[in-house]
Amino acid sequence: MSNDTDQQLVNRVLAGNNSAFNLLVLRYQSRVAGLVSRFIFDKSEIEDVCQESFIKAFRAIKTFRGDSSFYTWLHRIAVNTAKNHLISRSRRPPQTDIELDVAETSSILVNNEGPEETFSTAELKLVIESAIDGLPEELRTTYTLREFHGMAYDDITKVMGCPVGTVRSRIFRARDLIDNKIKDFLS
Amino acid sequence: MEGMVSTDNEILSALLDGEATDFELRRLVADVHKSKELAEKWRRYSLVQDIIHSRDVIPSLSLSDRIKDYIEKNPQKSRRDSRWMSGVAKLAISASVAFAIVFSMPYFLPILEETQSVVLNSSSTIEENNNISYLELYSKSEHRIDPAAKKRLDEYISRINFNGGVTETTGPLPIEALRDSPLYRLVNDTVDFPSR
Repeated sequence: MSNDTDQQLVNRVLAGNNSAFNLLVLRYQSRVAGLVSRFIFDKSEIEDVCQESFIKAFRAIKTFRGDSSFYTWLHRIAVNTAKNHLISRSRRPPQTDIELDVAETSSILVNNEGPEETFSTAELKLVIESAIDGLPEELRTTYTLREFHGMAYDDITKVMGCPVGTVRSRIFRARDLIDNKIKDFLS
Repeated sequence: MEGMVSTDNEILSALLDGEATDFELRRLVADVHKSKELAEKWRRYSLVQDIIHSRDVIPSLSLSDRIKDYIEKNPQKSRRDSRWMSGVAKLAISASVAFAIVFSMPYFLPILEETQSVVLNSSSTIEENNNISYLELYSKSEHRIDPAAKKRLDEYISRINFNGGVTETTGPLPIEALRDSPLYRLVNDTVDFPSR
């Protein structure tokens, strides 16, 4: 998603349309969770930290001036929230009746979500690649120019020799076909 | 354009590429709020993009409902509201300052008037300002003043010009008259002036 879209959504939130923030959450929640999982291994804690990060971002959105991208700003908030969580956790007594030396390695003990998530992400990537390969030629070319080469719609029209509406429609149809393949996998 | 009308899904795709118009965005934000299916599609479109670009993700995580609940309970005030609030805050501060000034006037005004009159009249003769006696300031204090000494001092002061010395050019200065004044002190005497 381009930074322009992020900025548009932030502007909508600043104008009082809080629903626009939901689009930002839906867009970045998996990515923020991936970031937080580098610091914290327990899945429920990851969820809590991610939620706290988004809430902090929502509360502080007036301070976002657009000097950097929205994700860069959100990234900083998430890293700080994760670090603060680790600091506060180290001050807390162990929640279960385990020995002190075991408690010190508790972060390793709870690291039981990582491989599963890594496996599903890798598998998902294979599903996506297979779906892209299976796209009709004109859809695949248009989609590839946009997604892998980062070309704007106007530039793609020059390469493909078709109107911008066609480019837009082809990219959407390609995405929809890929989405149909991964929907079942995710559910 | 191949599709006659842009569907919400097509707008989602355009939005992902930063190619949706402001009008479409506004419409989409409203529709995503109402349709869980549309929200899920947006999440999946974004997820595919993240995975294609090899970004670290956790695909199964879903926080949007929890955060949406929080936002509905704690809405963000719009920038317009905050501007309005900022204006009100400034007004409140100004009003507080004005209030403080107005209500502190009765206390400070006599002091200011006394000071002002002394300053204003210091460059003119006492005769031009008969209404003001410098002893009035002192007489307002709790100290008792000998009426005879006050009279002598007033007579003396009425003869002198603070800028030009004694107005009566003949005869010596009647400095003796000052000695009886309650204000008379040697320069090295410690004086306890009346406090205000």
